[in-house]
Amino acid sequence: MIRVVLADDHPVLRQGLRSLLEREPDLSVIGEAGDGREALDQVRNLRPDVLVVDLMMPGLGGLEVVRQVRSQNRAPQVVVLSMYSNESYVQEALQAGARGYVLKKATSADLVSAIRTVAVGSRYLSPPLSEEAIQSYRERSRPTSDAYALLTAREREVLHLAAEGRSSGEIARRLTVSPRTVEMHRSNLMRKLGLQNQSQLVRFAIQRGLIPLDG
Amino acid sequence: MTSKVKPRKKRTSGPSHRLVPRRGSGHTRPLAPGLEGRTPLATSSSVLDKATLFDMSLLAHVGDAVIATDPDLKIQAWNAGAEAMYGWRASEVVGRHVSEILRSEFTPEQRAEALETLRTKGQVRVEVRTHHKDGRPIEVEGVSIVLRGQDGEISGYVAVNRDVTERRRAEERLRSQEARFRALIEGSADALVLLDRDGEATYVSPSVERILGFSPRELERTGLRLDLLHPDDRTLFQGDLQESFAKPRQPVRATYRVRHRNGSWRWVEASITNLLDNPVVEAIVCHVQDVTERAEAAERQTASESRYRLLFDANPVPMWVFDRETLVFLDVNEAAIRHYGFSREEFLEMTLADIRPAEDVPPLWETQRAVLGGMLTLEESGRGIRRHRKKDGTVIEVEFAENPISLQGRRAVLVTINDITERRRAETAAEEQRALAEALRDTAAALNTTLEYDEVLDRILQNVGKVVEYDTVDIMLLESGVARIVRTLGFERFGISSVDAQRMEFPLGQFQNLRQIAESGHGRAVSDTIAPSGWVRLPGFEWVRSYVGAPIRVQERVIGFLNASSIRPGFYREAHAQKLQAFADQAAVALDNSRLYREVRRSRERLELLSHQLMEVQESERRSIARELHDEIGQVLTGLKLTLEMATSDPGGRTSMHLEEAVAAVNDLMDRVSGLILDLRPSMLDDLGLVPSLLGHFDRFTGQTGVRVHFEHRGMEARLPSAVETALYRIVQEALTNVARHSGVRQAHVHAWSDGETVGVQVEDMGTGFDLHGAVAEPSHSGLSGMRERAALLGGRLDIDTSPGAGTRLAALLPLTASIERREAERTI
Repeated sequence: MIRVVLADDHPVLRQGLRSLLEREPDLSVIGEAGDGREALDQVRNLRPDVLVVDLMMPGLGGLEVVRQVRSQNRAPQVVVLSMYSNESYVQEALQAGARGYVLKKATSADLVSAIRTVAVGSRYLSPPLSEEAIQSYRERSRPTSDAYALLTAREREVLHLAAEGRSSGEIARRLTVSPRTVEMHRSNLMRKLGLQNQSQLVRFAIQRGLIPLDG
Repeated sequence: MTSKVKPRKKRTSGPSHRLVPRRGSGHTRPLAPGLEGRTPLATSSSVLDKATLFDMSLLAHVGDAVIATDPDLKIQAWNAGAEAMYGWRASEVVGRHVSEILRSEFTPEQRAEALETLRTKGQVRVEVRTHHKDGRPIEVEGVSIVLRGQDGEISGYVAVNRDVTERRRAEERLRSQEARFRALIEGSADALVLLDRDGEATYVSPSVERILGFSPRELERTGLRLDLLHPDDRTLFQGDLQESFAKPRQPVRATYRVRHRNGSWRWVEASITNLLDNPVVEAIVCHVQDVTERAEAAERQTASESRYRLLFDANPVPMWVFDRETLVFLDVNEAAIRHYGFSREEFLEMTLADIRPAEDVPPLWETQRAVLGGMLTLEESGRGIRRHRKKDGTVIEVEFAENPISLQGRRAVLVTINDITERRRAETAAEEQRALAEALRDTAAALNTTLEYDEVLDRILQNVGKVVEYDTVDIMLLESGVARIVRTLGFERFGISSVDAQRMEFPLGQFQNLRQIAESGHGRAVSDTIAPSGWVRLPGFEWVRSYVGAPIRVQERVIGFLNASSIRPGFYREAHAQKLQAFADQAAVALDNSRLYREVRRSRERLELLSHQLMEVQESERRSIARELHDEIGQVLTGLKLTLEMATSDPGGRTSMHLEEAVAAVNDLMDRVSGLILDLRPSMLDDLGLVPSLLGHFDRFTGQTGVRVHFEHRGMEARLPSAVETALYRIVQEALTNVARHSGVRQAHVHAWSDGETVGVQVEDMGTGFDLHGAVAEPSHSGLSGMRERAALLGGRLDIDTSPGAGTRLAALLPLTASIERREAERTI
């Protein structure tokens, strides 16, 4: 018997879910919560096997509930209910400690499968979502380690010329833009690279091999 | 003989008898010169013959009476002179006693004495009154001699008598005149002293007592009284006396100090005339006048003269004396010599004209000619202000006081000088300061009457002339180390249009003067642009020969320059820089006010526009939501309701099929609502932050537009303030929308970065780009102003770098801390 607590701020939804889950012989809904705070209380008091929580709740949001629940001893497994199929949310929920991510528009069978899957410690994602998609998202959301990649083409040109020791006036004439524009590029690229002054700029350029070291 | 001897000597002892002409000296003929000094005649004792008488008559003077008697004084001979004198004929008197005839007025004693003298000495002189036959008295002067016979016995007497009645009368008259004369002399305040050859006073008039306190008696006959003279004057006096001896009758005048009886010294003026050879006077006549009062006055004069010299020579104030007629310097004091630099000798060879600046000389001579020609009368004394020239050429301004004096017998003017050049300079400086203050006040008033930026710029130029003269003037504004001209005045004269001027750029790195002004924050003058001063001579600006510039400072920050130029070398000096600086400070206040006003007005306009846009957006979103709710949700709901009705009312056992349709409709509804919600507000932004939200947006964006987004970010791990995340999200959203709409390319690069103090996003495409000015001028277009406004509201800024054909790069930079926020807010100014 898998003991389940339902947390959702909409009583109608809770009622629907409860009747849905109680049709299953191996599932038992032992408690309900109308908001995040209540959900935490129920988990502490009832010690369910699985917590089903809506991502969007007033006050303490679903993700925060997941984090706090997962930080407890003998914490229940968590299935997040969400209307968003966005990878960002999935990623965020999984990182917070959720084992299952179920879209609200999924079939009821989907939720039941999810509860059963997470109850044994496995991960469950609703069918449109996949581990692959999550993986590619992770790649994209990871910050770049190469600051140089942040620079625009113009900024790279300015960086090269500035590293060669050229004044803004010279660079401006080279690029046929105003000195003022050059100054703007320069200050932007310095910010992006986290540089404070010209000598740091030159050092960066040397380390990146942007300017040749003669002799 | 009946002649009597007159007691003459007694008369000579009178105090003033010497003043009387002595008898027998000069004006009368000698009395019987043949007889005088003769030894008594030796004749026969009884006979006095005619021959003897004749002989004697010859000896005697014509007119003298010659009378001979026998020893008994009986008349023996009686010449014609006797007949004429006494009125008796010889025949009548011969044989008669002489006393009967002559009736002389001898006393018996006088007669005896005369006879005794005659007998013992052989002759006697007598003066006695006798009488004419008719009884009238005849004063006679006579000499009688004794005639002795060969035995030595007296044989007779001869008397030669002269009638001196007239002379006696004259003498009487003279005596009375002398008395008057004496009275005059003795009544005079001046004293008269007669000295003899030895310098002994033989007569001293009583006035001496008034002068010297001595009575005449105390001084007469006391020898040469050199002791009465002041020791210093004794030699002088003796010299004068010598001179007087050498030059008879010529008065020698001199002044001596003579001791008063009371011991004090009196000044006397003496006129010494040697009249020793004058028989009437026979003395050295000294006319003595008491001049003590005068001498003391003169001495006082001398003393005051030396006081004058002291006051003049030692006076620290420059003074001189010049000749009224020739304007030649007659005297000049040390202070004047020191002050003017001319030596005394130089001064004394100059005229007033020589210490005047050239342009002041003609009026001087004009005035002088008028004065000499009698056409103009100068005030006797005067004071005023005029300009003088020192030896070194320096022109000074002096206050003078003139007073007429007489010097060396000439009409002269004593001049006192007070150099007021410094005072004038100070006054001039104060005057200039006041003028500057007024100009600045006027400027402030003029500048503050408008808040329109362009008008303020114009008025600054219009008012510069109040403090500094110029041929051209311009205003530069400074941005990113480069100064640009924004306003000019007078450039057209030199063939430079205002438009040309405004195209020029002045990087501070190349224009040393501007850089110095910017760095020091103070005005600066380049007096001569040819002289080495770091002046950059620009082609077309060679006419600038003198320059002055001042920084326009707002809160210690130099935002621009105010420049004035002149074609005259050396025209500007430091003082101009200071004045221009004061003016530029006023101008800066006005500029800053108008800039703030402009900012406020612009942001108010932007806010109005934005709120207007927001309302429109809101309205259109509402319309869109209403339409979607109606078109999509409403339609689906209607379909769902129909399906469910069919399920309940269909007895054909197709309930299951209807319910499945219903579930499908509900799922459709859920999708539509979910999309609708995301469009309205990405709750993901609140839940997950900027980067996940952007990623989500890129997915949907690419799905909707086909434009691929390359995203890089750095330092974005931490959550940002909600307002910042929202602003950046919306800016990226808007920028991507523009890329999709306008760029014509299918790719975009989005960068996000943060260093903890600021956060930036940048959207770049390599598409067609656009005319930024055109786009900004149409603020509602492209949502650019909206983006800019979002950035500005958070103290950040939005930069757009684009031009037609060159792609577009849009970057937003927002501060993350309050202090940064403020600094960045300033940067945007």
